[in-house]
Amino acid sequence: MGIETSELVAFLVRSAVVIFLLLNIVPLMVFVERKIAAFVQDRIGPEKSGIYGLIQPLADAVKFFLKEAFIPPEANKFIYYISPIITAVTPILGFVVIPIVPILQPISSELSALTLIAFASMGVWGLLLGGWSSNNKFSLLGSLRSASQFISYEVPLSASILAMLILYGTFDFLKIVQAQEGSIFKWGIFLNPLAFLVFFIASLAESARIPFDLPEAEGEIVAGYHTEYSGMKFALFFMGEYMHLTLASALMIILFLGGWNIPFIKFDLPEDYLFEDVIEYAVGFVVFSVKLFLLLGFYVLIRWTLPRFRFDQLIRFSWGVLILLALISILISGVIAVF
Amino acid sequence: MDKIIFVMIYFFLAVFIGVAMVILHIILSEKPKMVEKDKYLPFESGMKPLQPAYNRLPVKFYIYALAFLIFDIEVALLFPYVPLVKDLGKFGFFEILFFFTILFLAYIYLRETAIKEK
Repeated sequence: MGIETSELVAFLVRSAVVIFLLLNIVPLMVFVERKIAAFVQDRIGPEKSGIYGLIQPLADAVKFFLKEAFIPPEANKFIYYISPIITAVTPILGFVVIPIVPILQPISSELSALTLIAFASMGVWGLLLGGWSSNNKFSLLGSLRSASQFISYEVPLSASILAMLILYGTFDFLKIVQAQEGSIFKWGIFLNPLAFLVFFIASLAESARIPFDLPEAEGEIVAGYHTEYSGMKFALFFMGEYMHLTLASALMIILFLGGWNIPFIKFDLPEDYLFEDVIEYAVGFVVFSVKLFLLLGFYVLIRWTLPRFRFDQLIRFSWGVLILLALISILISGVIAVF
Repeated sequence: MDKIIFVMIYFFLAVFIGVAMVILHIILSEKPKMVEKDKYLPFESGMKPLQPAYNRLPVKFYIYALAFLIFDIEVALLFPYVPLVKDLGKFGFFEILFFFTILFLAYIYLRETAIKEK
């Protein structure tokens, strides 16, 4: 088949680093979420364990592992086990083509965008099957809700991605980021703000965050699709949600916010500079991380600010407003790309 | 071809992590010391369930599933246009505009029937 060993090793290292970073974002996000929640509600938040409460997520993780591995006796056991794994694994799979910096993209391909859309839209299966298999009415209702919600917001999401792809005329994320180099006005958000708006709202809905968290509305259906889940299997759903959010933010950075580029500055060291590549990649990584955490923090602030939609409003908003805006944004991209 | 093998390796790596977490949980978790019958009932806010969960259930949003099929396929049909935007130029753009006009008729129909507030 012609795969060289060095190529394989490089690929394995890259993917291991990416997966490691991704798995560590989850406890960090839980911590940030609790601290911001405390800030918004004028509380202190976790502070007893470790300095500034930093060990709290670790304690949570240990607790998840030690909880009783409970299965409802009437559940469909195989599907019950497999659905949290599907939810947690699909966003990790999406990261296979995300260029954080060029060396941290596990596989560089001309079809990165298609790969990502194909993997990321598998996530709904986990919620649907998990709710169905646990043999509980609340779970079933929650999973039906999440199915109709995800279906409704899948269309504007992929349409707004398509709008940006038409604008850049390529599926390759590396080329998309390179096209945004230099001036800040080359960023996707300035070229097609409408697509950004649609993508932002649809990605909120796709990761089931407030104001779109109807699959798990506590006041109505207890906890939705994961009512019967506990321990690590519940944590996998939780991780899946946060990693989905991270994936959406990373995609937003690549399509709209210039990837690893710094606004207003073209960071380019001279060729003969010592460790030129390493420094450039390190700076790019830091820039990407800063953008990522600003976006994630914004998501968290939204969560503690807005109330929840009613379900028919949610569905009608997607079909009545968002899809129309997404189709218009595709046309805008077409006009910019052609004329 | 090589890249598909890499994607497969990555796929198994990711699935392995998920499966490993569930198996680790089963191994590490505490076993219950005493068993009470009611614990194994499905959760219904403390009430005993009267019917099984797999009952007949009105799914009111099936119309959106049908609409999803149409619109998602429309979006999928537009993907081949992406690498050809520059080559096809104005001709391609007006073709897409034609395509969109037909799509828009379907959208107006959907808006007037399914989405309308009753």
